[in-house]
Amino acid sequence: MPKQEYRLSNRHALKRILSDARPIAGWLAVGALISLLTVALSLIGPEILGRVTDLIYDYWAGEIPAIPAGALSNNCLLLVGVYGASAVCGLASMFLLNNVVSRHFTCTLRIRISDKIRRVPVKYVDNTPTGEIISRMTDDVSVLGNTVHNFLDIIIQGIIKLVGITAIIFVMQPMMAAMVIVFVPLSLVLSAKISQLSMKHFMSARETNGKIYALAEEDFTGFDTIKAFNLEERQKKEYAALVDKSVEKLQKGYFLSGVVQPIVTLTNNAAYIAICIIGGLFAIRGTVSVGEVVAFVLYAKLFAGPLESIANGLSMMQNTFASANRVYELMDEEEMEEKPSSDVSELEGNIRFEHVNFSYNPDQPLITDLNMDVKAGQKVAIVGPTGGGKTTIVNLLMRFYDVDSGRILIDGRDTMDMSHSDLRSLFSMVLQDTWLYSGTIYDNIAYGKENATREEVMEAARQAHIDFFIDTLPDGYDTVINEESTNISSGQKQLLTIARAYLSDRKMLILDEATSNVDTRTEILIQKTMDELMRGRTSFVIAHRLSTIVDADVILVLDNGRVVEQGTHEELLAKRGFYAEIYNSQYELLH
Amino acid sequence: MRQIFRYIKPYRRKLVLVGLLYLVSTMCSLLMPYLMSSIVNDGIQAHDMGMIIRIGVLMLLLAAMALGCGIWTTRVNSKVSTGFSRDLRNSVFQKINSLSFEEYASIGTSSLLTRATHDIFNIQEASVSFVYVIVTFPVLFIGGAVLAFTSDWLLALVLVALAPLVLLIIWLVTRRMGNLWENSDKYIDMQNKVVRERLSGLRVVRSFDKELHEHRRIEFATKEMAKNIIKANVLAGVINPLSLFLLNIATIAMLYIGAVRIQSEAWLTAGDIIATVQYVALIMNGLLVLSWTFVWLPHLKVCVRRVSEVLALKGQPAEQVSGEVLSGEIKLENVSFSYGDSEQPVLQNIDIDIKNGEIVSIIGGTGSGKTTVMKLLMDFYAPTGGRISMGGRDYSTLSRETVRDNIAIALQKSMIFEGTIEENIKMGKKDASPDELERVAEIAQISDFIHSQENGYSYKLAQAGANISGGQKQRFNIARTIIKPASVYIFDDSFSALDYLTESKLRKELNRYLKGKTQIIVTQRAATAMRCDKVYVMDRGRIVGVGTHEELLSSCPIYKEIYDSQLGGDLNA
Repeated sequence: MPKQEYRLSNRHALKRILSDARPIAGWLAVGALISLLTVALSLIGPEILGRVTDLIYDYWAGEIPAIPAGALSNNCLLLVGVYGASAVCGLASMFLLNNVVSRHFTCTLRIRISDKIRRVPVKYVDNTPTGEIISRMTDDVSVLGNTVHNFLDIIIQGIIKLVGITAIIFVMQPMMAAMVIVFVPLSLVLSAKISQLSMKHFMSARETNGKIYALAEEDFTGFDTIKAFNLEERQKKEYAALVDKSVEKLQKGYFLSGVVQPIVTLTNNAAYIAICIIGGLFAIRGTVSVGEVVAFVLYAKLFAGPLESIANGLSMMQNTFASANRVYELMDEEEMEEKPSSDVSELEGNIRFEHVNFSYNPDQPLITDLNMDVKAGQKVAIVGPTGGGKTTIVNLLMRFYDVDSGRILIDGRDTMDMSHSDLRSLFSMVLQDTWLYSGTIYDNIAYGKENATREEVMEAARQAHIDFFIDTLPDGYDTVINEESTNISSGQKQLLTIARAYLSDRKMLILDEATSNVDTRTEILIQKTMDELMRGRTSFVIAHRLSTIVDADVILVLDNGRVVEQGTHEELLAKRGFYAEIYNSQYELLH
Repeated sequence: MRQIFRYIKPYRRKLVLVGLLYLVSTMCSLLMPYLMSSIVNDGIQAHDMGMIIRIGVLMLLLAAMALGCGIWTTRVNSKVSTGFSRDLRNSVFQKINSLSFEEYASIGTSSLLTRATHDIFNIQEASVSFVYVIVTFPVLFIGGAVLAFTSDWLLALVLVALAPLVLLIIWLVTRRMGNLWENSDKYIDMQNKVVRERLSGLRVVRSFDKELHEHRRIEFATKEMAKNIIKANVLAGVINPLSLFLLNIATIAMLYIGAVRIQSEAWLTAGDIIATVQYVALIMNGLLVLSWTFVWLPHLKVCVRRVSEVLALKGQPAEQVSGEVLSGEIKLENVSFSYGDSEQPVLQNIDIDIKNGEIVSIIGGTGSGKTTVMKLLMDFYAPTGGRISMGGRDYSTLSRETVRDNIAIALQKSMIFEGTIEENIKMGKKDASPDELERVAEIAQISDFIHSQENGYSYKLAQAGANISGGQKQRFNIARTIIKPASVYIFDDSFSALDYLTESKLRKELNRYLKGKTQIIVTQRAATAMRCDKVYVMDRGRIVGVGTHEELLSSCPIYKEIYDSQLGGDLNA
């Protein structure tokens, strides 16, 4: 069944964001109050300024003989108080927004995503590029956080401001107020439309940018291939073509978004001019005072800021919803079903596959009707051509993937009824793709066993024949393995994973090409350790080098997801079947 | 810095135009309050309605002019900034591709990637408002101050005195921000690194039940990052309310001083005071723009420095491929090599002599130096001692491109590029015919896979070949290599992910196809090496044995050990 596309409608995305904000609702209320206060204070300012202006104008026009010193200084002091309080409120709301809202919507959301990763099936991670998950966790969360922040900071304040100012100026002088208000919807609609248009170009530029990034990443990681094939010119052309495409869109985007500014300025100027002319005419008639005209001018100025940010905010919405969709898609990803934990300490390690069917992709059945019976302590080798399903067996055993039908039993218990961590606690794994994390060598070996003592760690290293190498490092066991693990070779990495498996001491063992990167001479040395490791443990061994598995108790020959042959080395050779063909092919190169 | 300015230079005329246009539109804004004071002084006071209308029309003209200038500027500006960023992007990309391997390693893949993408993006974004910021504030400030001086010197002084105060606040705040941004960048890197690690090792992490442990590591990095970012944002957020407060105080001071002075100075008009108060508001807008500049300046500085570092690298500009065909005779004489200033030699006294048309194998364990020899052969690095020649020509007399044009190599890491199968194979030969494609696909044992895909050669391979298996990647890598016309073919551990059956078939057809060409096969497998004309055995950077398989079995203990461990004694069993 093809997966349905995840698509939140704008309304649902908004609802989701709001419900995510619930834990900080209290703080948001406080923030809203402070915003309200800030706005109220900023609205009183021009009114008082107008009064002072009136005093000055009246004196100058000869209407009063002197400016009353008391009224002047009182009003000025009042203004200082108002603006002081407004600054304090502004600081408080800024602090609150950053510390509560931004933290909640970026930091906390990211941690929740990381927590989510713990519960998604391996399949999801296998099918999703790492960069995709990281970009959702970083870029998309940032966009979301920024929008919520801006929304609360600028847009809400802006709307309150607009409403407040409108009310005040209508009370002051309805005719002039109407002149100011006329230009508002015009400016708002125009700039929102233009912003939307520019957003479209930005989005498509961003898409091309993604391609540019991908090309650069590819080019840099394939640096040696590029050089080896003299492909610099080809790459240069391809890159330049993409850059040109993005630049074309960007230029339109920048132009349109830039044009919003002069247009907003124009409407502001228009309002300003209207106030001046009409205010001037009214002042001559004496219907308004000069101070009121000045106050109007200041109010009109206060209008401009929020208008612009609301227009911008609206045009950003589409972008935000796209990000919200990507974030919530990850958050809503189906989780693994978790069975309750139970006691597994008594299990011996008899493993049975009963009519197991499995495929990664419904169109291409991979494992069909797989049956096998492994006694506790046996060494099972799995061989067969690439793509035959060897590694899939590991995936099913460890329940990284679940069978489509059939059962896998450990001592008669269906693994589907066990909790993931119980099941996995039974196995140690050494894989071909060695994985170490960027910690110290010591921590990496001790990774599989909590509270391992230093002696145990060193013993494990000795068993894996990596102790000598570790001792030659200046920092010894405290050497930090760097991101690309370039300070140790791939063979040494594999030895460390063997030491890690040795230390973790589990009931069963999975060795998937466990020594493929180790050079042959070390491999001989380590064989003894491996034999000891496998003694008494049910072991599954996948190996290319058939010499390492000739002594297995059972060899399963897998081809196209089916066990085509089963038996010991001698039995299978005698059969002269598929196994014998594979086995002999390694000598065929001789002839 | 100078590196970046070079890219601005071609646009300097347009930049001047942008500056002038900004100047005009800013002047228009400044003149508005001036004209308004005329309305107050000459219109309202004189009860002259005609005057008010006349001035109003003048204001409208100014507003229209501001609009025209504004749109024009935006047009030119968007062209300049995108043009500039395009040049910069292309140059950085080309520069990186021309780097020597030493230079490349000195910065590293992930850092180069950040510089070529993220850092340039930031510079580009900044370049959009570059001129606006540079022109607007000084014009507003100087223009405002000049106009204020025409009204009253004391009022103007208050205005002028304000600037250093605001600048001081900005300086105090931004001084500490660079540090915070650097820290937050560090933790972002750490967070992403751990996520990447955890996802790539998901099976191991889960098998050891360590998901919670990995989650905690991410949580730590994320929290540290947030702490730094929030601190930086709070600091930046302080600028705005504080500056606004100062400006408001200045407004009040002006009104107060104005009220006092208008009673003592007969020439001061009410219109003057009203206009001056509005200049403050204009300057306030300019200051806000400026303060934002200071907020992102520290971040921008880091970006500019990092991109400049790349541009300042010397590189090795590509030369034209001469088309010269060399014979496939390879000679290494007493070659030694060590990386950078490392004292530890990676290769010592290497002597290799390969005749044209020979099939030679180089065998050895990991870290024995096999791949390094190939890197020297490709002229990725120059040897620190000894000589290398091809077709009798010393490498010092050949251009890198000529060497690489004559050797086809399947590198150890099979690189797959995002694109169709056809595009990937054709990287070896631009103008390959469909027949040629099919031929090499068959030899590389990948033809069946291609034809099982619905769209065959147009099947899209994902980045890094994420939608195909390791074995398939190797086969495409081989196909791409053998389609390239060359005299020498190198396979660096190129058969390791193939099972013996497939390898055996592939090698047989390969030998037929490449008949007469030199082949160098680097491997860890004895079975792969044994059928070659000659085998070189490497161990710890030295050649420890040369000869045929049979000769080496008796003369070279290391070779025998490798052979025994892999194929056992039971060959005759």
